[in-house]
Amino acid sequence: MELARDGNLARTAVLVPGRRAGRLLHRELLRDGPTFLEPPTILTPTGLVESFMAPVDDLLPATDIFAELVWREALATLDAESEQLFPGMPRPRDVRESLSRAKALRKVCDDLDSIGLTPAEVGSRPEVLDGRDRWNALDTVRDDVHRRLAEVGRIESTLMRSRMLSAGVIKEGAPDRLLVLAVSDPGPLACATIDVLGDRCELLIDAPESEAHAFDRWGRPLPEAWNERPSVVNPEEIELVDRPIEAAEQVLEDLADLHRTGGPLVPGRVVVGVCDESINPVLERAGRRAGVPLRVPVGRSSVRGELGSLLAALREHLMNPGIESFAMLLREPVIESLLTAEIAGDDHAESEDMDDLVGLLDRWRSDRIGGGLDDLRAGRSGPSRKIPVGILRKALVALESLLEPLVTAGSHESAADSLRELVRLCFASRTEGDDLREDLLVMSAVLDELLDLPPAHDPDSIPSVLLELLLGRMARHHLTPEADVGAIELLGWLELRHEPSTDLVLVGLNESGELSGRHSDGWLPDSLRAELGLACQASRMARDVHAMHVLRARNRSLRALVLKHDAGGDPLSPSHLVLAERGTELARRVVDIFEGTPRITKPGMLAGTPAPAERKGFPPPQPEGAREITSLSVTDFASWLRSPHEHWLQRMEGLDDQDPSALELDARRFGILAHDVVEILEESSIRTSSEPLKIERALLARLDELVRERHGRRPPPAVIFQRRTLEARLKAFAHVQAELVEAGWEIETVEGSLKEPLDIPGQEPVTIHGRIDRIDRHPDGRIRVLDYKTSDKPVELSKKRKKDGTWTDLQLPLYDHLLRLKRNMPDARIELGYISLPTDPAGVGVEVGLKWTPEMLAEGVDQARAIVKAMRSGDFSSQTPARSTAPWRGRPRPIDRILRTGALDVSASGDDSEEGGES
Amino acid sequence: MTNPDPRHIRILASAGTGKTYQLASRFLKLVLDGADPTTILATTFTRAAAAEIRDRVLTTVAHGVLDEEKRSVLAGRTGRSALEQEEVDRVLETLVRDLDRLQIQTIDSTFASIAGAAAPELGLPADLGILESDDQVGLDRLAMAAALEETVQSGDPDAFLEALQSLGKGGASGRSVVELMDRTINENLLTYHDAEGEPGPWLWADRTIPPPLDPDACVERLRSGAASREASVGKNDAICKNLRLLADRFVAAVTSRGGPGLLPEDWTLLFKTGVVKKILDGESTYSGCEIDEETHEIVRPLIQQMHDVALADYARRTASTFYLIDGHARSREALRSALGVATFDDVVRLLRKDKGSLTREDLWFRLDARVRHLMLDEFQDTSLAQWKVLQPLAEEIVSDAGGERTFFCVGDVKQSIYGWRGGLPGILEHLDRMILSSGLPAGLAGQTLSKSWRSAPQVLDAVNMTFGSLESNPAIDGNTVEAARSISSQWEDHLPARDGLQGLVELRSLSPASARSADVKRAAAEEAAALVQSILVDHSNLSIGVLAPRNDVVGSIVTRLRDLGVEATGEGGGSFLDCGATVVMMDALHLAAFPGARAAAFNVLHSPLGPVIGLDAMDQAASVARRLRMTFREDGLARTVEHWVDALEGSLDRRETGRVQRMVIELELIEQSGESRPDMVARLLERTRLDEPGGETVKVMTIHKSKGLEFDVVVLTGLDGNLFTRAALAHERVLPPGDITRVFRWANETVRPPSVEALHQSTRVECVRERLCQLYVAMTRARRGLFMLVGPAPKDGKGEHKSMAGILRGALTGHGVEVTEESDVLARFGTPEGFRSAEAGVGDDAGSDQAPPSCTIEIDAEASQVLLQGAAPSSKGEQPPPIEALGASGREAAAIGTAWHHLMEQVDWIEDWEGDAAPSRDALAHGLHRLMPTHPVSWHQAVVDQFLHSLTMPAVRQALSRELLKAPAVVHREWEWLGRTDSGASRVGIIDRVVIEEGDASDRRAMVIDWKTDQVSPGQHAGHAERYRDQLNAYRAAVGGLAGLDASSIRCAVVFVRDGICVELDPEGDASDSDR
Ligand code: SF4
Repeated sequence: MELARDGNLARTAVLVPGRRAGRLLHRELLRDGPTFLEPPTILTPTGLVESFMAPVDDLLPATDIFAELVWREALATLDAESEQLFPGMPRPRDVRESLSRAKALRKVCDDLDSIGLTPAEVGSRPEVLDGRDRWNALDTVRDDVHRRLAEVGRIESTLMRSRMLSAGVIKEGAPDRLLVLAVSDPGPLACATIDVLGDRCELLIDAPESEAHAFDRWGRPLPEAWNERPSVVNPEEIELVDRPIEAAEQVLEDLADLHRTGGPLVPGRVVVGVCDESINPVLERAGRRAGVPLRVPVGRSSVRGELGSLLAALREHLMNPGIESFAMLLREPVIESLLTAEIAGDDHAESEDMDDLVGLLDRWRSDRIGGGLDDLRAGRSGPSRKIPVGILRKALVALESLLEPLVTAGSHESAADSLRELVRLCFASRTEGDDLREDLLVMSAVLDELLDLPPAHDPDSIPSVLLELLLGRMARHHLTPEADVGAIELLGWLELRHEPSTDLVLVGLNESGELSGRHSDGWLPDSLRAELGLACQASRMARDVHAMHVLRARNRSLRALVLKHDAGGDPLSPSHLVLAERGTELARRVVDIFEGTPRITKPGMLAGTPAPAERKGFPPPQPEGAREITSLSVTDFASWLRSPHEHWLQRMEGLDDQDPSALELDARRFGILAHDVVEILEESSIRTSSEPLKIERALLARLDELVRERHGRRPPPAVIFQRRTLEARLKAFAHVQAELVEAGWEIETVEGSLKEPLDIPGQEPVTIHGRIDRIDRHPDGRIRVLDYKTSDKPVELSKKRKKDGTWTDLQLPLYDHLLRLKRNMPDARIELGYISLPTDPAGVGVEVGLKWTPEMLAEGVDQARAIVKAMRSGDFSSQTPARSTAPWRGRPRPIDRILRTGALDVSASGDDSEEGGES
Repeated sequence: MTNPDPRHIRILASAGTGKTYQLASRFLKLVLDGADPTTILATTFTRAAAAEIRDRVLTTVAHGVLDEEKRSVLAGRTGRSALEQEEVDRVLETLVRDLDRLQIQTIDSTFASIAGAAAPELGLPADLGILESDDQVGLDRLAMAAALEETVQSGDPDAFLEALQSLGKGGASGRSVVELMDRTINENLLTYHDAEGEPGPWLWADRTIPPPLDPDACVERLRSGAASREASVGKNDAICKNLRLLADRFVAAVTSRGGPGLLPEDWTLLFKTGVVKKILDGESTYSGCEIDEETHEIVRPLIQQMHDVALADYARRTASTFYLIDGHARSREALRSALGVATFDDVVRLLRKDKGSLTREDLWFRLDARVRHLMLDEFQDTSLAQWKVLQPLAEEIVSDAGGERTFFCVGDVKQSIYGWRGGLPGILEHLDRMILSSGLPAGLAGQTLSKSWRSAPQVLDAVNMTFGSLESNPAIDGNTVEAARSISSQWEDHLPARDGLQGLVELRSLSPASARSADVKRAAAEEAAALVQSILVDHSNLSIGVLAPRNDVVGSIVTRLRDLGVEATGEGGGSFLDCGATVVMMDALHLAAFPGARAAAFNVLHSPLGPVIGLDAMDQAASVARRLRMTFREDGLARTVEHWVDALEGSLDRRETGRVQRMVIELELIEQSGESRPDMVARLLERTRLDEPGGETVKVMTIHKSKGLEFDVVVLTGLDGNLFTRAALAHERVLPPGDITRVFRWANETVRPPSVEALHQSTRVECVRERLCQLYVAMTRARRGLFMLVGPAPKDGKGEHKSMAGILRGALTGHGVEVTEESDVLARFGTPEGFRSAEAGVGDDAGSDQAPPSCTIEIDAEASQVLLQGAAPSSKGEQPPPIEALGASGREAAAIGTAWHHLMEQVDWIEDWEGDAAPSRDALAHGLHRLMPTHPVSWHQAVVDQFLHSLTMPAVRQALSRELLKAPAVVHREWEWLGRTDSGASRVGIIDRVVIEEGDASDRRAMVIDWKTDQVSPGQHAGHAERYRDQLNAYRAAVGGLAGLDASSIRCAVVFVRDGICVELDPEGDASDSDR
């Protein structure tokens, strides 16, 4: 390359558009020249000013983080008047929003600083219509920020640069000359630098000499010279595809074409340009599938890895500490294993539960509804008492002591140190992969920036602010992947123009991604930007049109893929780069693109897709073969009758998952609570009482006691309300109970357990077990078997036995049968029925099935025998799912997924949910 | 009124009459007349519709450019006699140039961009993320928890409980508080927001429950009334008996309630039948006996009491509903703003609430847009809130005296089926008055379109016959007649534009067997599926839409069709939940998040995925879950799932293969959006609606979803539901503009006080009308074939079912066929032969069935020009492992290294540097401060002191001295070099110090020095230096290349500056310590 031959490059600086361009320059310098040389100083627009200009004062440039924090401080202490002009300012404790607001406003001022304007000056321009006060207020805030910065010896870097340029003193030891290399969009500061440098500066523009007039003196393509030029993409080079997936297929075909005509592809010569980076993963994947390596030479963002995820979870926990954030943090593998290690060694007995802290926490949460961190800290267990809450308590304490230094840090610096230490602990036992290593280094470097920061006025938010800033910075850093000489690179639109490619496939020539049209901006709308000389739509367009010309001229082959829809199916617009034409040519293109049929691939028909199998690979699991059934509970029969398949899953496989984030008792647990309360009737003093008030008092006292025992002194809100609704039911029941006693009924047994064999003709008998809620006895010899029901509506006895003689619930016939067996009283007068405790107190009462004859009951028992046989033979075939109920509101129940019936349920909760029960 | 101004037009366009055509024509006319296309704001409801309008506008002009004939058609459309070529050329160029600035968009995106521009004023974050719905970020659950907590905290849980209890059926709440709240909020939120969250409309009625009647007196009144009537009319009078019965029942009710204070439910029960029921129904006889004034007199106080109680009771429920929703809405709002998110509805609400902080001028300025022309599509679906935001703009345009600005809207009141989403067709109907409410000078010109370009004459005949005489349809009764009238009074018969199209319409009754079955809904689904299958036999290339009003029917039809081997998709595709493979994969995601999720584990375990992720027993769930979490963190979700898919080769059928591939794409999108928690991702996947381009020709969907679509054949089923669905609330609006003035809980008909009858009536009309509109929309989706399945008619001549099916039977039965017991065709328009013989429809067969052969593409890696970069040889000391770097000592070491290098760089030769000219300690420290401002001054001074001390050490001095040099020498400090590695990569490095002795050509030699600030244990220096050998060798090569020296004449050394030890590293041999 020319440059390398004139020697003394050490005194030369080259301004390139970006880092990749700098590396390309390095390669070009070495291409035909010596193996070693003294390189020129490579500058990107950000570092340009300081490389040439002498400082004007002692103020140091504030880092972005530093400045953003000062902005946040200034905004948090706005006077009342200015605050009026920024309505909806976030509360200062709202770290995320206050920082993002600070950043947004700073960005506006930064843009203005680069052209030497203040907000007040902008506000007084004629184009600005009604927002003058707002601009003045912004001006005041900006002044405040500068004052605060100056107090600690800092200045906004853009302002500093702009001042250095106005002073115009070139610093000692600055490079002798500046080459501006194909930078088609130097910002205002770069332009000013070029002006100051005068003769020391040379501009190299990617265009033939004859086009010199089409650029301004800073090398920027002139909108008036470019924006009206006809498209350089020829009609036959345009390929219309439907969505990214089809684009990927088309790219593969285009590459195959190139291969056919030009032999093996040379990466670097053949390049795929992607104008919208959201298409990249689809391209990479399609390439992998088809065995064509396509890759993006930029790694993932540093916040997307393990470290980023840990830090994000930490941030949530610090900003909003609670059980949810704790659960989230615990789901970070490093935290889980760190805490497991921390609490290990205390109790060996519990080691099994310790293996799965996440699962343990979930179980505790679904048991202790609404349980919070306080409950956990106090080691409170839920009603079941089966969960070793002690382990969780220790884990929480361990976590809190780990976080303690971070939470209590009094300065950003000590918070940064604590954070480092915490991360070090988390990853200490991990073998670092290269990616993790790089992420850690990035984090460390960002934290270094935080070594000295302005003191915070609300020390409590220090750790949250720190993490928010840290993650913000890390998000911008992308891992450097290993270069792969055997892969075709996927390059973004902006870097593409510098690549020395010869064959180019351009994907996504649409108004989206990097080629997208305008965005609204609450402060500097495009028209104002254009007026002020800031980068605007027209200048971006000129830049793009010019770039397209460069690409067209450089590449011998070009394919331009225009998408009709994005990945989500929303329509896209084609880019002006393919439409810029006139007259009939334009019309032809419009018709071709807007009416043309794009390439559409049927799903499952992608290149490289393995041939589909003949039969479904994922049918619903089916119970197989006969099973040994020796014992069943009374309620098993109703469950089987409702849906044998569900019965198998729920009752036999035990798949009855609870929602850990439930807010209230589900029907089952509500029922259990009610049952447990009425057990108090067993106590002799109440048993025989016919005073409603006395009974009521006893029931309510028991209810209080149980709720306190199970849910603590401060039960979750929904449980408080559920308790109240139960109270109302119990009050009504107290009267019913008093009336029963009045009528001569006496409680004989409460919760009497039953365990009797049921003979099965031709097979082994089966043991039936259950608990009879209550057996009453009347002096006249009648016996009543009663079951409490807490469903919202009273139980209708008539629905338990259908007209055709089949039963929907075999509880009562079985009780009858087994009780007679057990007590050996085949001819006793047994009445069977329910005590309903429904929502409406008026519906609370006893209903007894007096019309059931012994024959009917015997039918029921026979039905039970048939069911046992069916179960034993493995017949669980019906798939009719029962309708979903809370707590999986609106979502398919876990079981629906196994049954593959979820889709229907979910859609039922969609838009049409307004069509409820019909009157 | 003056003559309407034709600049402002409202078009009422029936289905299929070319609404988009009208819109496009209008747009083109404006542009041809010279309007700047970027000043036309045209909104519609879906992105696809917006794109369609845009495409239509562009291609119409393009064709005009290309084809003279089409140009003159275009001229006609836009009201001109002719168009010059140049004119259309110019227009097309303008449109294309401003493509990205055209404001043809969804109404949502209009509001979203306004919200973006006005974010600070609206209290929205600058980078607002717009939610599809609350559960996307768990806002629904958080808000519910917060609302409950708030209630408990506020110290008035009793009031809340009372509220809840009053809401539950029967006046008390059920087991589930959350469910009840959820339901109450869902059902009533729209009303709440339409009333702008104001309590006024909810709290208008007196909530004091009147004192109960004296039961004894009542009973006495009834009994004595019965007795005295008996005396006059005789013993066997039905009314007497009924009054006595009533007295008994009254006693029973009081006993059962436990006091005289009867509730509305008790009254309902009491008056469910009997003479009072007849009185309430306004009838004059009971069981053949005339109800005389005396009887009225007897029961009047009871009825009065009932109405008073009901009014107060329902007023309390109404108030409770308000407080409940209000509390929740406040909690939600606080959370919403804290999370920095909003739904589209929130955005509209915020815009509507914002009064004055933004002027419109300022707003459009910020948006870089001006609106001089407003074009509103699907206007009947505009909600009150949306209209309130648009209204000022519309008024401004209409009041424009300059005569340049225009207003245009198009809609069809008959197609307003989005009431549940807030769509308020009344705005379209009363637009004239609304816009003129501010006393503006000119009205709207009106136009009605009724010529259908879509449907065959036979289809239109059926439609006309059904809707033209709705009022007299036997399925319409007193309750529904007003709604029917509102449609038929404005009805204009639809005319076919395509006369030659051969259509076929059949109204079919479910087969007698299914009709008898208990589950008519299931039968409706099954027969629809069978019908589709039979249609496909003859017409496999027609597009078929199977429509039903309700989603559950849709679900069963899809399942049924699949059982029959017909590939069908639910609405525009379906969901990941409708495929076993994706369901199992989502369960694997779920399991990763919830190791205790047994069902998920079971599902994975019993699928081919189990072995792939290493789950082969339930008790491994927790460890597998943990491993999955790790894998997701390391590889990302999309990549992991892709691996699963690879590993599942041979286990996926065709459909599953397509689904899992879609899922991977979806995962990529979700990951790009930043969500990586597997449970949240699984949730998002669950919600994802899939459309399948080039997918099946049979699409099954609800009527709602079919809006805006058309099919060659429509099969309509599930029509037997009642026309009127009881609403949760009754409400009353003022039209225009549609504000809600009064709200009342829906009161049971028996107890309903006359004072609230009007509210109920207007609500019922809204509801029934929407149902009728659904039927209209459904029928008009059909191009050629329309098959409607209805359940059996009521037996024994009991009138008609009050259902869509009833309406169809009532309107069409007997047309074109003879109805007999056996035949299931009740009506027919057209002939099956004609239908079959007609030209085959479009039936696009996009995409081939064969997977393209995977291409073999060779890559020439040898010749690769991919940009490579060699790692820079470290010059600032070896980097500690990052874990260590995180420790304080590691960072301190790095800082010291930086400082020291900076200081060392300043020394050229020690001899020249020392002495008088030497910079002071303070000056050095100050220099360091500029470089490393984050360190305290004391630190800088300490480093400088150490540095100055090390300069006294012999090894350091020697490295900096020219004393031992044999020839004149040049020194390079921080010497940057660029070199090429063997692999062809470029590599850069910076050498701390190079001294080149410029002796004779043969004598030239160089010394490379690298400063190290490492802390090294005594005696370990030589060993420690070894780790820098590669680095120094790279330097040696670079210096050789740059200075033209032979490697053998270049010596390299590392100098441990803290200890004053220099270790020389020769090219291959051992390191040797030199003395201190
Ligand atoms: S009603 Fe039956 S199922 Fe429900 S909780 Fe009570 S005992 Fe359990």
